[in-house]
Amino acid sequence: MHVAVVTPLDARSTGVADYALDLLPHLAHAAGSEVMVFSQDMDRLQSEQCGWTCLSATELPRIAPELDLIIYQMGNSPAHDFMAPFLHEYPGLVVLHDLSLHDFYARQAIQASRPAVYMRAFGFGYGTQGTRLARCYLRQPMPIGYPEYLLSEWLATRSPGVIVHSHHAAVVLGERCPAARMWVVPMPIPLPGKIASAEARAQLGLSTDVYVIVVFGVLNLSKNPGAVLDALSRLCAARVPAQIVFIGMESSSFRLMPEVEKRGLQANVIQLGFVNDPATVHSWLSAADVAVALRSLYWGETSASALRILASGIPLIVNDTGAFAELPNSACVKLAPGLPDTGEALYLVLESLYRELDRRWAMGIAARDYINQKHDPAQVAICYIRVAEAILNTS
Amino acid sequence: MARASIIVVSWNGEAYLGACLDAIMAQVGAVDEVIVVDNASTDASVALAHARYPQVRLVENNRNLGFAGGLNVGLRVAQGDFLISVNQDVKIHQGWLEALLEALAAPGVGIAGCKLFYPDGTIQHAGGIIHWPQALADHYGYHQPDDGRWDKLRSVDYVTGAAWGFRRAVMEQLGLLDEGYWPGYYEEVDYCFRACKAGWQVVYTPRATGVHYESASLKHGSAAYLEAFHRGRVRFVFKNCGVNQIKAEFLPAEQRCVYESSVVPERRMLARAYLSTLMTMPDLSDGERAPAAQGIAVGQSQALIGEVIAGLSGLYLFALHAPPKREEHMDDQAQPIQFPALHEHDFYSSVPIVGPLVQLVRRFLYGLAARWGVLAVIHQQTQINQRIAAYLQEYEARLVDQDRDLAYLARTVAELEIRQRYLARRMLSQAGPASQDDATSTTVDK
Repeated sequence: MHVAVVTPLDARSTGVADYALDLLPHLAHAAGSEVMVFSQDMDRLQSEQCGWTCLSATELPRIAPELDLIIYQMGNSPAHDFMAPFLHEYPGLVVLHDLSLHDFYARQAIQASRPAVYMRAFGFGYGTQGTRLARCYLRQPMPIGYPEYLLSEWLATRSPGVIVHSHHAAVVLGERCPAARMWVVPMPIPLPGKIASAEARAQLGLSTDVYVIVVFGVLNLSKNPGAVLDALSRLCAARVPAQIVFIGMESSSFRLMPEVEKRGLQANVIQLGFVNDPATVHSWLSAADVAVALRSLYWGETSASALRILASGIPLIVNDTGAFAELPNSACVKLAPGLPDTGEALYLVLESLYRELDRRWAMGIAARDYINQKHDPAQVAICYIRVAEAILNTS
Repeated sequence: MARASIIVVSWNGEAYLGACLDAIMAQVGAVDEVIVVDNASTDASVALAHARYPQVRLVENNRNLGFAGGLNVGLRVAQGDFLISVNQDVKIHQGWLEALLEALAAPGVGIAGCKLFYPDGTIQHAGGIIHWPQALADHYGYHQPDDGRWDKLRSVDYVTGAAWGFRRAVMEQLGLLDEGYWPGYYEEVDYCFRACKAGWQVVYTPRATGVHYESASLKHGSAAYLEAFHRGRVRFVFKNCGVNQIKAEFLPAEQRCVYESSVVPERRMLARAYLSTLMTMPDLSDGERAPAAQGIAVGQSQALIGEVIAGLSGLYLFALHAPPKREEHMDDQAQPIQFPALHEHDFYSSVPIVGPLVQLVRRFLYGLAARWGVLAVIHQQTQINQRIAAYLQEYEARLVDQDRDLAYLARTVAELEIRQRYLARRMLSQAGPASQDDATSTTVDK
């Protein structure tokens, strides 16, 4: 089967790049032939080093007739903008990493001067009211669009197939778009080799008796960092030797250190920012005792960060919402979303996990088992090929 | 000249004023002066100050001038080298004044603030920080136990106006406090910010401590508090930040804040703050009323200012209408196509003196000769407009439906094309390279 994947490959601009890099080798194996990758982030020379054929996206029209199926790794960030001319012209299997796609279409309207595309996407899902809302937005664009509107409906309906990563996303999209041909395929998450916590801490210069809490992923207000810091404040007051490590880029809407200084927690917080080196991330995750991945605003996407944390065998604390609710209770503690004092609730969980070393250990093992069983990239690639076969009507 | 002038602005603070002044009087020396500025209290504050503290200079305002207004009255009459302000509901601890004056005496230091506690012993203020780009003023150590984390003298963004002091030279350079922040919030942030810009250092000294009872303060989280806080904040930004910064950083951050705020009353208060700033925009460009404004008012092109005003107007509407639910959002913003109602012409004359008579005659003649016909035409036109509006809406709905049908068709075509290509290639590979051309044409025909 001749399969091509259109995807961003720059890990700095989107997490989808890591996703693609984890999947591609296995996809080639499952497809039984070479996989062609179309991107704007990698030239031929680099692609040869990576072991698959990578071409500039502009070459897709020339090669598309030779392909059995094109797989689009579709998201909402600017890293996906280069796909816009091809999505409707060369339909294929669309992997939706974001259900809204509002910003993607809004950029088409404003930056690529294609307002009709944006209005059609809005109108398709929300009728005449949607087109009016689109007009409102185009008259006065705001930094935040309307992420709560599912503009992916148009694309999902037009595409021969759609992959989402959670049952929650399937339900949300299915309610709006019952005609879409949709499959739920788990995210491919490779299981990293385990480094002993003591060894990792020695590398990082951390004491063995420190309670290391990791917050991993792009840092913005929807991740509720204020509650995390409040919980840390309470832990410090309770004489727990806690240390929080924030790994991930800060969004433009949030600055962490002023919040840390405000609470006087400078000695207990490490902010690493975006870490380009996977080995460093792995060391920090190996050194961690527990991880936190809260979400206050949530539009249905699956968190790769949360899954990578589980792959490292770390107990995870999440909000009991959307795709997070599908994570196993044996590996996660789930806080009800929208609690009046999330900081207090988080503190209670963190404090109990601090005391219960055996529970943490059991949760870590359950986390790795879960990822191994559900998110093995080789199995995910086979699922991809099964979906492709269903679209090609060969199964 | 006195060494220090300690000014207490009082307003209906009889219950706290005695304790406040007792603590101050225990620390001042012969070279200091104490001034009480009363903002037209209706309780026994003035009588109390008169009776118990004859050495205090009492200034009575005939109306409530707010915190900045009251303090400015005191500053105008103050003689000291160091100008100190203490709220009526603050009880300073022993050694407060000496510690504050010591901090102020350091070279380069223009403003100094202290460590204030709540009555429960937790920290209320240990210096302040301004979070940009929204200029959210925040206290260090807020509601934290006093466990040694805030025990260093250091530079901060601002200090609370509840108990602070500054050099006379700072006032001579910056002028008085901006009374545009009435009734309160952000005037001290503004003053500290401007002092920093002028090259002065703003410091927090942990050795000067006191208790702040916050009797006159608005309750945190209340609508009045939120309105005053945000109004002060937005005024502060528009006074002190450049147009480009407001446009590129402040307005987008505000919009995110409004969007992400789940508290509807706070959004309404934000809307009121934006509206208030819009209404006081001319005041912000007035150097006297908004002392030392450096931001939007100064040296900016009208076009840029216009853009920022338009941005703020948009933000006001957004904060007012941004609803928590999708359906409400739809109802508010996506109004259906509407035609303006048709009206009869209203006759008017601008001719001096006889104008009203001319107007009456015209109206009379119109009513006599043409009105019945015009009304019938207006009625017909209104019906036509309504039908056109209904047709347009129907066509719009049909277009959306057709788009849906088109999407299904597009998908079906795409699926068929993909399968056809796949089958063609499989047949080709099975038939072998010799019959490639034949196989391709056969498959395509099928």
